[in-house]
Amino acid sequence: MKVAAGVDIGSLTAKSVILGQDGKMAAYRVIQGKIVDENAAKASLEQALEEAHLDRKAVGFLVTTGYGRNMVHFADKSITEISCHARGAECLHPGVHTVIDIGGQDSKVIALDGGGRVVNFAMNDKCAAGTGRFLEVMAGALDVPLEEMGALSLGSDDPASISSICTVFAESEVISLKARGRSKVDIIAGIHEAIGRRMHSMVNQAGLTPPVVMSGGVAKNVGVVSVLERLLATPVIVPQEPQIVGALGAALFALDRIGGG
Amino acid sequence: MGESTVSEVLDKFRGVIEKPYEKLKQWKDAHEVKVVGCSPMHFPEEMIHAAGMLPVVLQETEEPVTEGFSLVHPFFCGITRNIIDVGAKGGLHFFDGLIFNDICIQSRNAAFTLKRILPEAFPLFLFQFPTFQDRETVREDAMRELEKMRKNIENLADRRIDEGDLARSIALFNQNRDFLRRFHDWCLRNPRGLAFRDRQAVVRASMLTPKEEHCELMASLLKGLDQMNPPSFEGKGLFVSGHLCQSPKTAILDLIEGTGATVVDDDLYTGYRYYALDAGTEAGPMEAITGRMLDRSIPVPTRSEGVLRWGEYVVERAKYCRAQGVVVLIAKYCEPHLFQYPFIKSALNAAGIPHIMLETEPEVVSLEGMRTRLQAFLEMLD
Amino acid sequence: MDHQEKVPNRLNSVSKIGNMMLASFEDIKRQAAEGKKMVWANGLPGFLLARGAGLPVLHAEGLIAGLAAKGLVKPLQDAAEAFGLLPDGCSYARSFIGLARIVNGDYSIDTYPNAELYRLPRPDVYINVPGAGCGTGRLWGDSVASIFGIPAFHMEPRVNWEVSDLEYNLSDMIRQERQFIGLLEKVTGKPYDWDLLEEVMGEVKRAVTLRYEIMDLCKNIPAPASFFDMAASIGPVCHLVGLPGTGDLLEEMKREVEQRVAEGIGAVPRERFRLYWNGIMTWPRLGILGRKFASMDACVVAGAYTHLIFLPRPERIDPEKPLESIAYNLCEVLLNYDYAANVEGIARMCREYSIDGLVMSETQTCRASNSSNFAIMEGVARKLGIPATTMGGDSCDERFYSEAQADTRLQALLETIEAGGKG
Repeated sequence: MKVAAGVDIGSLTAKSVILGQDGKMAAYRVIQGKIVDENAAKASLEQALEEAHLDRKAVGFLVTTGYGRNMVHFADKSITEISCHARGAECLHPGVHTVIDIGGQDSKVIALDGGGRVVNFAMNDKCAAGTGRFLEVMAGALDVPLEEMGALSLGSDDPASISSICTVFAESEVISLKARGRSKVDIIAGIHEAIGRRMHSMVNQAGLTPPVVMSGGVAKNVGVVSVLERLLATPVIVPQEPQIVGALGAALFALDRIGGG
Repeated sequence: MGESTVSEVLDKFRGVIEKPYEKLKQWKDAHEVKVVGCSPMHFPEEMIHAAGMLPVVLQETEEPVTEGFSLVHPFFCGITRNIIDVGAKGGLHFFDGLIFNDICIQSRNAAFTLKRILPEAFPLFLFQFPTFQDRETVREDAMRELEKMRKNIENLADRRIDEGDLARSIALFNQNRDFLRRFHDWCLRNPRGLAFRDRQAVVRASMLTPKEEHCELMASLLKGLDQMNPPSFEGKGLFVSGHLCQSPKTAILDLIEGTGATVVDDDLYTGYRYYALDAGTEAGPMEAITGRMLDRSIPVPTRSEGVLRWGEYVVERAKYCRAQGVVVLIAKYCEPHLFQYPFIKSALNAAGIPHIMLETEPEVVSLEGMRTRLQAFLEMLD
Repeated sequence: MDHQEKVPNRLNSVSKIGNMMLASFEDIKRQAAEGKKMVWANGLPGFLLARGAGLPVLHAEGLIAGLAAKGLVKPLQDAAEAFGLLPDGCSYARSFIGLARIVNGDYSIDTYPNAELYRLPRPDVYINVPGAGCGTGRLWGDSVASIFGIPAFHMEPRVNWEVSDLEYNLSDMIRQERQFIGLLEKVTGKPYDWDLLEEVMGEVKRAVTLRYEIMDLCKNIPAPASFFDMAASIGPVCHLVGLPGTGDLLEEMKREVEQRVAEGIGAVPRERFRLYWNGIMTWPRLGILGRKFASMDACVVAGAYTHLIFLPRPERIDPEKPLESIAYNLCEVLLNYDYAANVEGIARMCREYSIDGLVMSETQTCRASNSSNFAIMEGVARKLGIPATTMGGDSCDERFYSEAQADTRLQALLETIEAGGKG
């Protein structure tokens, strides 16, 4: 029996999903990497296969996606992250109409029709503002662990006003606010507001129809999710493991090729 | 036989558009003819030709902006920044005159800036063609502006433009446009025949060389094309719309076709727009020129018609060439385009024609991002 | 420097003008409810001709600036983006087009706070008369007109490319005005009321003359009112221009300012630096900027926005010759000439106002207002031997403004002025 594999090579992480021919998830893996390359993809795939007690020969079809998708020479096909995130989100939450993905270095909003087909999308990949990188830089400026930013932001009643158009501008504003004695919690809340505004703008471009699913590492940040829910006036569904949505979509495309599902 | 002729002619055209101003300077030295540059779009070059001078449409060159940073903001469009930058570096000094079309703030700024930094370099004019096409008096207003500009050109050339000169120039330019339309029709029948970048080169070369020479080369080219056996067209066909004034960078033209899709038609200024319409010769030559400029068959986004129709026009063209999808290319910061875009989007959505909007920048950055967007769009068409 | 304690000295009359602005929007709604045909307009002062036809006018820049100053413009920009407008385009235009989409029912604002603010009457005709240099107005006007399916009328002054072009340009402008009168007669179904226009122009002349007299008083040291005061009180020569009562408000403002001159009271608690602001006001930060400059002992005493745009030729206004008056105020204005003329004119103004330094506002999406920045910065600074700084921002899109950048640049400018022996 063959399995289908999907690998999503992002800016800092490589994610893999293995699906059995029955469509059930056999394993998944997220690994942090220093650089985007074929080795990262390979390592992620091998670790996922190991977890599923399979070897490379078991893979009937491999689809890669993400920033580094064309670097993986052993892939059978590469498909963009737009199609893969849409497919993955639709699988996890059938009937989803809007997917918001905020990754390490890019962000996107995907509009789907009721049947999981992509009808429109908006992307930001030229600028770090509003991405995971933005949060990392700000966490560094505030000397707060990245994973604590979300929860801390929820404690603010008065978020600081911070630029949403440029990470460098925003960083200098954060430093300036610190110097003026503004509380960390308010500053962090302001950072989340900035991300929320940026994503709201992209949602406007792509078009908003609920239900909304959020994917990507930043979906684990409860602060960003909360801001988005407020600005979009609709609940934002976060899957259990938001980082693997793209890889899952890629694996589903691979599954089509081996006649499974 | 056909292919080698085609290849020869295309090489000449490619040569013309590479470092255009250096080539023009060499041409001027060799021919001792005055050269007058016109900013895009749609200045009636016939008037300059009728005065015995070579009209040239200013192009965006490949060199990155350097001196221009102290003269024009980075949030101005690529071609005006480039013109200012090249001007500041002395790259335009060989021109005997420049005429700027007052079509938008950025074009006007380019005129004002060059007037400020190069006051002695060459005569500089601002062509204030009436922008409001739905006015009852638009024809007389337009004639008046054209007559004013005619006098400026006569002073520049130091000779009168008589009706006969103008009529002959109009005939020549119409002939060139006819050649280009026949070329367009060949490309429409044979979408895989020539790369998109080469189709652009053919048109841009017309903007940079004497029409007499370009006509001769076009005659050879068309003969050669007729003898060719281009590959048949399969796969996805795209209609490329937009990019007023400047040609999209070659890297972007290649990127679009590099995804495996084929560009079947376009409405770019450095494409169909340039040669689509002739100056009708029934009335006098100035009436002919006026009539061509006021012809509304193709919406001109830099003028006001009261109703925004570009969207409907794109739908019509996309259907005609049976494109599966439309790529709307917006040169970043081009306001005449970005204000029309929502209406283009609505029209395409209403017609059920998939489209993607891509913003292009003067310095080609983020090609990978653009590739991802295009690929995702093509995946949507599957 | 201690930035915390110094705040600007507010003029009481400015808030009265603000109240008149608010009342005017309610009045527009009332007139629409009574069945009057409605005009939406951008630019100045061409819409005065609509006043002469007895039509209520919703003025774009007046409304949008007011909303932006209060942080209420986001729904309009959201509507614009949902429509497909990119943020690089003029934010006044985007916001007004967004409003058009909202009023036309194409974008729902039910979930936004203060939704009632945006439920304004639909227009029957659109007029665009942009200030000199603004080619975006035609796109703006056509967009709004296309959304509502109404006629748009545009008037644009021809550029004085050469100084000698003026005479022809004036006659061209008057011709355009007559054509607009023709359209107004079609819209109202009545002959044009030239007497009413004369009355309106009388009020205009009074208001504009008073405003320039007030701004002249700011040549005093310390300046009794700042650029921020004059921007906040722009209503009587902008959205409210020609309406009864505008002259009275400005009379009151002039008395208040004269009193300050008599008592030596400045707009800022301690005026050490006198600055000129080129470009448009950054409306979303009006209050913050006012406080920022005051806290640094800097008074912006003059600016392009307040001094060069809104009927800057009051001496050319003759109520009995309204078309000529409007034509002069569109054609024979500094911004309608080339950059060399602008440098001369602004340098002269800076001398008159004893300017120590220039702030070149880069309202990013308004290229008409910032395109001359390099010329002014280089030309005027060199002529007068004074320093200049740029300051990023935008007329009404707050995303383009960065507080830390503004602080650094302003501080650097003032330090440079001080190092030159002033302040």
